[in-house]
Amino acid sequence: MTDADVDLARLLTAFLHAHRRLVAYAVTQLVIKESDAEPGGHPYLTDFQTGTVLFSSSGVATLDPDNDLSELRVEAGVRPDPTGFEVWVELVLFAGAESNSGWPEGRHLLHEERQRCADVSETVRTLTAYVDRLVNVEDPLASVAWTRR
Amino acid sequence: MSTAEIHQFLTALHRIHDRLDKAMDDIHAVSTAGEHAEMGPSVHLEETETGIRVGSRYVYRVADASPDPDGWDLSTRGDVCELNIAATVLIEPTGCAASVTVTAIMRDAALSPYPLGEHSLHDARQVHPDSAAAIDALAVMVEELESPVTFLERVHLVVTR
Repeated sequence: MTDADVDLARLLTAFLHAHRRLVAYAVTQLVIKESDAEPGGHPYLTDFQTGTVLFSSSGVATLDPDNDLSELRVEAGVRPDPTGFEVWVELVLFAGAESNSGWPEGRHLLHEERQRCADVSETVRTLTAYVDRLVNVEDPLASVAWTRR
Repeated sequence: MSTAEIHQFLTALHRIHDRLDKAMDDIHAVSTAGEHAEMGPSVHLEETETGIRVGSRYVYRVADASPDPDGWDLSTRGDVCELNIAATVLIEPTGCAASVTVTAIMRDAALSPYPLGEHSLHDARQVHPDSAAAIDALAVMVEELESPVTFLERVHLVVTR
């Protein structure tokens, strides 16, 4: 096992743990009481906008799946390049056309942190700290005045 | 130094992910609206007792279309077969294992010569000293994998149009 293998295993393990925490957060914190929210989440390997490689994970609560598909989403990502990694977390509201959330239709960034890291140790530390802060945000829905139709 | 190597590994894994995705187009070409219940690529990440496994996994579910001849009401149908294709690398202190597996899970014996339960249709494994060699080997193993349609044919679940 090379040093790179050790670092790769550390990075993948940190990412897997981050993914699990985001999904748990979506299940326990993003679900709005009495809504039709369907929480879940998936890890991804591709940036669908650019087609480039990255590791991203999301925990998602689809707020009203039968109607406007509004979503609350927590995301964490690690984008590698030959000289380092970009790390980020986001809490995003996607308001549907008929959303009763008080937000206009579209994507709204409610929380964001991002940083470029030079090595795996810094990447793992940053990712863990970002996810720690994200999942400890109290009342993440306070700014989303969602009411059931 | 390892940053560049990790980037190379993940880029190679990304190419394998895309290669499997394109291979699954073959299934689209032979599937009907009624039988194609669900298919999707996903990143496979799993901790084991001694390491971590990473790769791509595809699940294709063949559904019984008989309750709804038009095949659009998924809620009335039951899965009769699930085809799992996984291309992964297991990273462990003792080495890195590349594997490509294809598994069929039969849930309706009447539609296939295979009995109910899980059946291994393909299982290729290679152990290498490091992740770089393992991901290179995985790329070759995926390239040499038969079309997913041939696996459906083996369990007699391809609908001829």
